[in-house]
Amino acid sequence: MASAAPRTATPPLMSGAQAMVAALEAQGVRHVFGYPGGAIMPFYDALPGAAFDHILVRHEQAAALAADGYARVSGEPGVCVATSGPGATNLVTGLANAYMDSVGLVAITGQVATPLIGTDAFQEVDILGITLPITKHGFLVRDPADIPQIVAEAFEIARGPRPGPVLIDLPKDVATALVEPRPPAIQRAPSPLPDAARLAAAQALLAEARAPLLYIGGGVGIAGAERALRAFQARTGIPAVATLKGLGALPGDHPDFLGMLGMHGHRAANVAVDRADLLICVGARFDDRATGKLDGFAPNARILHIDGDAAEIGKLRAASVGLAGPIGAILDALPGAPAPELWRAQCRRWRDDWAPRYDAPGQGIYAPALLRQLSDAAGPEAIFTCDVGQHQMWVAQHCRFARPQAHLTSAGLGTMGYGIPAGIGALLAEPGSTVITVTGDGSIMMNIQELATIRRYRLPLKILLLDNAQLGMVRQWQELFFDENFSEVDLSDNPDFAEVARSFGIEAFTIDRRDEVPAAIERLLRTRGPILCQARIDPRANVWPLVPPNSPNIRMLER
Amino acid sequence: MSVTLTIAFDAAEGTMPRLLTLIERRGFSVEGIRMDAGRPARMALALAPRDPGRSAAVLDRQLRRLHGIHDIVISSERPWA
Repeated sequence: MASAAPRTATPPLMSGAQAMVAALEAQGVRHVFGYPGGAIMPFYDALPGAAFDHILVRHEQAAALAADGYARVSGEPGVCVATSGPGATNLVTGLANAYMDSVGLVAITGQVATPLIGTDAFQEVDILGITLPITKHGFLVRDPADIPQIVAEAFEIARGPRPGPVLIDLPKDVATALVEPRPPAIQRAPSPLPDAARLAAAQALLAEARAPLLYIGGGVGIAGAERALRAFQARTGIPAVATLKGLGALPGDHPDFLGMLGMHGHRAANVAVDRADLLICVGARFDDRATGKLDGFAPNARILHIDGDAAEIGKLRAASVGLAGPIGAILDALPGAPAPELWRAQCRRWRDDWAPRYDAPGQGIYAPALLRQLSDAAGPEAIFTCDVGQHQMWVAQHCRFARPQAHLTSAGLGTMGYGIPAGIGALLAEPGSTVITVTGDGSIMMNIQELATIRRYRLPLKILLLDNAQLGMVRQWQELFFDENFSEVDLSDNPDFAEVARSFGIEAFTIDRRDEVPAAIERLLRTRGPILCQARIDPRANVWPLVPPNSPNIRMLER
Repeated sequence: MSVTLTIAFDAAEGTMPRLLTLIERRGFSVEGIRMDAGRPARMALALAPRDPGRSAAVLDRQLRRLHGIHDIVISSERPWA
């Protein structure tokens, strides 16, 4: 009788590209945004049968921006894919956008085969080098067996504690080589609370303050610290202002919330900052759009700075006490002290006295009023994604958000063309939500090709185009600060956007009178599929208030 | 006033240019470099702030955020002098 030879189980070999797909699946990825091309073809060859969906965009920049919107809403890193050379460089704006706004992103780029790297081969570019200053980290894969480890590390780095983009550059020969992947080993470092002495020093500041004010930034939403922030505010009654990215951390209609501060902030918010004697900065970074002239910002206030990123503490404004660590746990550990009632009442009076007015003269469409009505009709849970310019500021000023994830805006980089891709990402992350993109006639042209993506995947994105036939914000600055020397801001030869949308297969209509607004809002919200409403507004409309450049926030220009 | 930062790091592909890019972008000029390619690698950099608003302590925290950084020591010594 012949004896059987002992058999050992050998894991099947797979290509580097297959290992990449498997590693993404292991991370629980559900959607990937991308565009194929030469060097990334092995990845696309491995894609059929993957446990995640690939969303074919029409420009790589949109892949990165859609992944950004997806990440902001889902709380998990977004994934985008592009080929080498121009495909990779087209991701750059999206990576910079994610870096500036601390959004977790993993970008996978094809690269020419390893022996060709550095030879100026076709579609070769040093994307790792190009993206050094706008990514948290980058990997050039040399050994396909490392792919599971590299992907696991990339996701861990992208997640945080301060999220950001990570690049994985995958040479074509590495993607096609057969390999037995090594399983990843990841060590997660805990983020400890600050020591008791610092917490006590912070509590002492809170107890001594006569005019304390919360200055809320995007770090609160990033840390998932909304509950802790709201509990801290509720037990202290401390009035609050927010940055562009901090909107939604407290509900927009909260009686102690004074609105956005800064260049286009509410008067109540900027005045309160000016008068405060303690500024409790939570997850904000003293950005110049928020502070105006830094020397004149919160001139009477001591600073208690709480942030998930130690590098932000003391970067631009010295803190009396800095607390670096998990924002939610820090807020929970601070008992706080009740805000003096006189100060709280004063802030509420400022809020009421300087509330925005919506009774502009004439019959034309008044954008702030339209946005307020749309926000009220859509409800605070609806997600707004914006482009960049006047409409972006109007959304921040006049829409109300129940959560930070309901307001997707390109805050740090100010990327025109962000709105529609971000809306695509938001809809895929939260398919049951109402998602509204507010755009302008300048911004929409930056990624208008993504109307095809919306149509292909039948995404019910509601697009409100505020069309003033101008680059409105630039025109406003030329009017106010460049002696009305209007230079290259006229866009009156734009195409008929409703016709353009229809040519992509998207329902569209145009309004230009105020009495058409209620029916337009109803149609936008009622329509089941994608829809675009082009609202023609006054080309001379400006965003108010406005703090002139290099001025303290207290010097606001008003209409 | 110039300072010396001694950085211990994993010398993975791209890490050194990332360090130098960050240092220059955050407002410091590199006046001298000395490198020891061990595990971890060690790099001593003589740095001068480009304006008075730049703090070595803030730079230290910004560098520590990078992946693969083991340790950073700030001193006034010039190890290559």
